[in-house]
Amino acid sequence: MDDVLVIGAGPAGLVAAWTAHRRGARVKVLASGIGTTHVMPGWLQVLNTDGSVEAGVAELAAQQPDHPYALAGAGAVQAGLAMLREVIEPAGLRYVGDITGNLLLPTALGAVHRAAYAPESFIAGDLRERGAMLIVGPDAWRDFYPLLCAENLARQGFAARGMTFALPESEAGKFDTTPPGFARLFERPEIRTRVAYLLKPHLSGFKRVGFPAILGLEHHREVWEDLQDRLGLPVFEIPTLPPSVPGLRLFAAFKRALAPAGVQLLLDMTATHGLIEGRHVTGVVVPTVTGRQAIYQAERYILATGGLYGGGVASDHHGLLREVVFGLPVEAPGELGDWFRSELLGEAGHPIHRAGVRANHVMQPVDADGRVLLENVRVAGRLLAGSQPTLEGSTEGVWLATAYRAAC
Amino acid sequence: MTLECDVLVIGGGATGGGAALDLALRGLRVILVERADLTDGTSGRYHGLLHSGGRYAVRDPESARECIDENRILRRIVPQAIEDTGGFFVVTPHDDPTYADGWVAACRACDIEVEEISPAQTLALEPALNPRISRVFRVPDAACDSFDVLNALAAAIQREGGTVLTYHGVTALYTEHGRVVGAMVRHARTGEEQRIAARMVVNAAGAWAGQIAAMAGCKVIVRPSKGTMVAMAYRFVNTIINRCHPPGDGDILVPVGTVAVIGTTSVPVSDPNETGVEAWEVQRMLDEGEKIVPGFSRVRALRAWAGVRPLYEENEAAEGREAKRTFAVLDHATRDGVAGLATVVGGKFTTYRLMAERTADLVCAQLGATSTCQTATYLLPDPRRPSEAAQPHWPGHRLEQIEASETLDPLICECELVTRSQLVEAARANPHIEAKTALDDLRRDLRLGMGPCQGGFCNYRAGGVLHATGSVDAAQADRAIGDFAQRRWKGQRPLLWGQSLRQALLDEHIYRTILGMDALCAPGDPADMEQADG
Amino acid sequence: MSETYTPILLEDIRRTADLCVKCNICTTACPVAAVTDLFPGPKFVGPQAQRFRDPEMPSPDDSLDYCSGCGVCTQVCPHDVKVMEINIAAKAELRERQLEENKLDPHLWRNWLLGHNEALGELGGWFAPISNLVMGIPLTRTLMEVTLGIDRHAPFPKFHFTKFRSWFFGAHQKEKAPTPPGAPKVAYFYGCATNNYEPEVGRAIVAVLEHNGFEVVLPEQNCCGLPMQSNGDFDGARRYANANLRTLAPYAAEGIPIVLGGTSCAMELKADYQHLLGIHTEEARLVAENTYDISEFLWMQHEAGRLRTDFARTEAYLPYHTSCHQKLHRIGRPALELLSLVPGLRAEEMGFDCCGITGTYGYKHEKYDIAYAVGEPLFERLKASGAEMALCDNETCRWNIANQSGLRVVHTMQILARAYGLSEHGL
Repeated sequence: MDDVLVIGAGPAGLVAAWTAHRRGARVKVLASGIGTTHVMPGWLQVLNTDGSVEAGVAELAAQQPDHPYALAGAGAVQAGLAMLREVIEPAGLRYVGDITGNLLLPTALGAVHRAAYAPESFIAGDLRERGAMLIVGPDAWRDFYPLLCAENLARQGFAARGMTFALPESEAGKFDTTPPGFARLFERPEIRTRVAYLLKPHLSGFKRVGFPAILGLEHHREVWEDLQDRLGLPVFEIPTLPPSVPGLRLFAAFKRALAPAGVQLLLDMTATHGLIEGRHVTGVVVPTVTGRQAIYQAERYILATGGLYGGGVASDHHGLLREVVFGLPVEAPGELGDWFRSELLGEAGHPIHRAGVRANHVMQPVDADGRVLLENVRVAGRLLAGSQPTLEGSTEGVWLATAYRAAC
Repeated sequence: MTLECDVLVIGGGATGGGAALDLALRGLRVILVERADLTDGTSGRYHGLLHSGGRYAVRDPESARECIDENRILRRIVPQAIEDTGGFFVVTPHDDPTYADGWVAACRACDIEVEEISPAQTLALEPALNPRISRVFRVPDAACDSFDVLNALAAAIQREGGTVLTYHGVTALYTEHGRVVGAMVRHARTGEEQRIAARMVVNAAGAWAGQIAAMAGCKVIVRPSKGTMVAMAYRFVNTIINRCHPPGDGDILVPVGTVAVIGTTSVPVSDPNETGVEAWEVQRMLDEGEKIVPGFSRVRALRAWAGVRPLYEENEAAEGREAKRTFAVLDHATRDGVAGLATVVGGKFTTYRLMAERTADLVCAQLGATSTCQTATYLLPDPRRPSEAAQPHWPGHRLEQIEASETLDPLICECELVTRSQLVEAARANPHIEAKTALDDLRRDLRLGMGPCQGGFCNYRAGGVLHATGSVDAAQADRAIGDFAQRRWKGQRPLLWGQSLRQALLDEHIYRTILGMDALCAPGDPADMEQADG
Repeated sequence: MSETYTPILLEDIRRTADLCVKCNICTTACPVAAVTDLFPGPKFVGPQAQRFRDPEMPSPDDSLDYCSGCGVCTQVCPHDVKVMEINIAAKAELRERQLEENKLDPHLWRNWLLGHNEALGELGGWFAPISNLVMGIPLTRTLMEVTLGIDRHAPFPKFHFTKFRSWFFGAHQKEKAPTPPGAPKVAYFYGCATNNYEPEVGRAIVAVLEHNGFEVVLPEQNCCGLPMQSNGDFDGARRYANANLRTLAPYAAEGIPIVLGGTSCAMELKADYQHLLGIHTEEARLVAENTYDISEFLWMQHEAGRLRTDFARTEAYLPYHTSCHQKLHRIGRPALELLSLVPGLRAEEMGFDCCGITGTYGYKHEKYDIAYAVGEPLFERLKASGAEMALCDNETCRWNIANQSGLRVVHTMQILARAYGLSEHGL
């Protein structure tokens, strides 16, 4: 029997698993598949604010006592981040930024996003600095359009120009190169030599150079530093369409850290239900390929299966929402027709965003009256009710804070 | 400047396109105007069924005969738009078993080939069907892509010297001495107005025909009847399935391209622009689908939309499915004392060519032109392969093309296999590429964004390509991306549960979180959203 | 609708294409797409292309042929799309078309030969010394590469003169301890590789089971059918499958567990007969429900308190590679759990998705380099580990890893047998 069984291998599950391991627990991770690392942009948004992020989080927690930030408590974001850093820094990955104010980072479309922390390779793109930027990318690549990005930035008053460079290697086959495909190409020094050669004549007047986030996977840091050396200017990455290379780097770092730590990371292992006695989970059932109901047991279970996108909450055409492992109550925001508003990107977001499992201050699942439903279960990440991460700009902050708290 | 022509045709649906070509082939100078893009109205919002006529055989044999005749003609003249799926009429446990024999007799009376085959044989061909079907009849139904038909018609009209003006809505008809002599059209984007002088005007505005006729003071009562359809994410049948019973809701399932479309409802509406989909309509489609294909309501529904049938009854009696599905060509000179105007109304997509022919006959008689109709034998060009003889439509074609290609042509839409060069080509041919509707127009040309992810990935890419190739500036690209995202959203929203909901959340994540789209373009103007969808 | 009826729509594995949200996570994880431009990735040839495949028309996508069938795509997909299974089914259709078009393509004969490796093993075994000698001559391998497209560097195990089955019914019956009365029976499906090339693996498994009080029985059996299946010959695979089901079903019906040492063969019995080959019979269901990977079976015994733990202290560090097909069992890592019971032993999972060989894929000349590139990080890691021996529970993977890394690679049961002090059977 393990001490802790983490269900879900998204960012929250991974951070929770590491945290539990560091606290001395014997840990196993079961997941249906890879989680949202592979669609995350890479930066860590904690709160969408122009002021102090820390103060904003405290204010939000005070105003909304059911918000995951309020549940996880002060300092949980930073504590979760410290755990994340322990895992990724040996892999050469660093997050920069601080909790007092947001970075202003360009998106692939040339919009501006706020994030408290970002990979070191994003930082030179901070738009609080006014230096002119050259946005570049591979010619005719379907997943990034440097000219569009630059023109949109310029429209908003940022000095930016775009250009493309030809990379015949990416067209060697007849199939498209994915973002990780380009990242692998950039790991080859001769590719960087040529890219630098092509860009060099166009750099005058620019203070920094922006690439799509494809600068290497395993050897990302080396790739990024090498390009800066060759170009003689700060280089930054801009996240683009999934699959996310910065997310892949994170996942790879966890994979590398967990195995030697004795933490098994088991994918394609869908927990279909829990065995429950009273308010105690005695095991979760993961059917094998033959349908045998294999039981996995632990002292404590961390439920980090994600929300409606991640698959932790299922929905059907009768308008019912269901937490998929333990059947915890998930309140639907009205009838099926009320879940989403008529505008896709409206300012108010969609009511369904708030749906999830309610929890208390130690992240135990609770009912509407705050009564603990399962004593040895902790809920972490997007599965939690009470936040609107895409609107609040709190997605990664909620992961970190609640994963840390759930594993303590 | 005033444009001049012999005949101005109003309405860029199948009937208008067909009429314009017919007239052009008879030697007349024609201009076709459409307020939005071709097929923006009912033609682009149907289920994709080329009727054998079986559906109408019992109650409306005239329509049935028209259908089977036209079905045979269209297979010959526009094979690139037609997939010969064949059709089954099946008797499920929910259908009155006594209906079938009379139905078979009625079909035979209308010259529709009907062959009874055993349920076992049918299930071997279509294993997903309800195993409790008791009788099955094979009929010559087919799947037909209306976008391809209209693209072919437009290419043919231009080849024959005619003009096609999309995004030109009619704002007024001009009359002189009791005769319609032309129209004022307004460019939907620039607002620029232009007068078109014509010896004769054809009103082929479908469900909007009453509004056009009213501009000349004529009363034409069109009873718009909304039909809602749901596209399921993949084609789990390869034959068109009809329930063998009196026509009702959700009793047709059409494999079209890569999806399976179930339709329809029949709801009288007061305004032909009313194409909102209601929850009960979706539920009805799922429930009825379950009777044809068990498990139907548990697989992924991709998109719901509605089209508005332009039902016409001179005596204003019947409504909805009670109304006959034949058509009428109105000579306003004899009917209302207004010369120079003909209205064609009613009918259905399958019989568009016949409707066009009858309309052209009337126009020619009035203009004293003597040449005869050629459209029954005139082979429509395939704009995608102008130099070749048109090939029958085959869903695997795009996959085969990619396999056959030796070099990279980036796949912009991964669901529907639309490549960068196809997109660039179509953008070049589109005179309205700076419009915010640009990507939706390209969708109709290429099926861009019509697959499971509903534009989640290809929308940004397509906007980026238009910008990179100099077709649009950044602000225009942003507007087009925003507009397309919102249009796709409209059809997804009634179906957001299960896997479609997860897809929608991923799409929202891409546009809001990764790209920051919401910050760059103002929320969609609701008035603009009224038009195209489907 | 009757209660027992499952709609085809929900049963057909190809339907899972419907669940794809186009996130391309599978493409990022695909070991083959990562190393070659010739394969567009599992999502492209899987759920994406599937929408354009027409049962009436041949599948037009040859690039599918570069799918190795390792199944990593299926494992990583968070949306339950059976990506690999969709691809393997489409591959079968592709092969049918190729057969119709060009019967003389040497690759088809090569694929036929690789598909029939049971017959090959039989034949080679009769003339083991000569076969091994011939296969050892570089010219033979060069000729095979030129004429058949079987790569000269691909690992060919040595044929054994004494087949496992002969040993079991011969020498073993004489020397083994008498079976205790009422001992529970286990039916052992050893597979072609154990029978012809690695009888020591079979001997270790028998020893470990008998040490734990089981009576091992050997049902009549032939090749599981996987080599044919992965080379697109579904009809051939079905013939093998049906023959196996006929002889195994009676055991399953009696509740006698069927165990396998080879993780890929086990997937056939457990799932592929039904879901890929479409054999939806009561026999297939019964056999699947009673089939276990040997480590899975033993770990279940341990969890029920029935496994002997009289392991000798074994000071060793053993890198462990989980074969790609083993992960498809969805049983976790029972081998690692068992090894953790051996005092002093430290087994560490290497964490690589695939060694590249995936059955017969890496034997094909045009795919050899791809397979090598897939496995290279694993080989390098093993070389750097300082270990002399590594563990892997699937045969072709074992041979491949040994061939490329220079380490000795053995089955978990060989280590357990030794730790039990039964080494004369294992190592």
